[in-house]
Amino acid sequence: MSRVNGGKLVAGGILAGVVMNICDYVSNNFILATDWEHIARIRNVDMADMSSPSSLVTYVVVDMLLGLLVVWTYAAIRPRLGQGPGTAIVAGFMVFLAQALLMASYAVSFLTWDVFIRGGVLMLVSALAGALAGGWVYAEDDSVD
Amino acid sequence: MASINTGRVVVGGLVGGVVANACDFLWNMTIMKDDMTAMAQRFGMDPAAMQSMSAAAPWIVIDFVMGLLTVFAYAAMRPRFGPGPKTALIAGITLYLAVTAILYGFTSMGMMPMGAFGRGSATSLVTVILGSLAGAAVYKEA
Repeated sequence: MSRVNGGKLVAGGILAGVVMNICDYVSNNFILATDWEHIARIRNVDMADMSSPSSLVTYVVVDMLLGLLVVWTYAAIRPRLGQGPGTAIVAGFMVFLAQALLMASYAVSFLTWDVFIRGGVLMLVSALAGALAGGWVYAEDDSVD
Repeated sequence: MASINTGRVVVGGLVGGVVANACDFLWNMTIMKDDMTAMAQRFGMDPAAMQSMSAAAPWIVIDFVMGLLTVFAYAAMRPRFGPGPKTALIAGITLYLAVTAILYGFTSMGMMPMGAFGRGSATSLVTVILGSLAGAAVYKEA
């Protein structure tokens, strides 16, 4: 079994992170903007904190890490499921599901279920788009898994 | 390449879910108790309602689904890293990092104090390690 290709993992992870950042920027600043304002209002969270430069920078870094994680997952499961977009979608869905479960635990308390569902769908789109982009870049010298 | 043993994923996931639920119950009654109460008050919620069975039920289900996901990840990663506890930890920590990254983002947005994030992340790491090792110990392939 060939080893994980570290260089391609980083390259794919960066591309995936860029794609996920674009998806999340559009989701949170346009599609979910009024939802976040509503949540901030009912949960006593300062909207200035939620949209401060430091939190935006944090989310950019978080998405880059998630991009690396999605491609790492793709590389890790490739010998089992084979290379290609099908496996990339499985990897993206695995990372998405872990995040969605966390969001669901927040839907019990902090969020509302309708925000969770809308946010979850957009999070799924982001994870799958990132996984497909990152998986497309990732390659191994030994193509026989 | 042998296919994933679905039956064992389910059994292993249930075992992992039981372990995760036991850990989370312990953390929420001890280390995280004051943090949970403080966050409930801050978010304008009734702390008693947050500790009710109706509030706990989704958490229980979430831990079981996470257990299934972790054992599936272990099964999917096994051909790459080999069977055993090392691969179980890789599977569990991969998913743990995805969750913790998002939680850190929430913290930076002011939804959670940094101290609570640190304690929650540390206790979750212990939960993930124990749950993934338990679940993976059950998983077998022909």
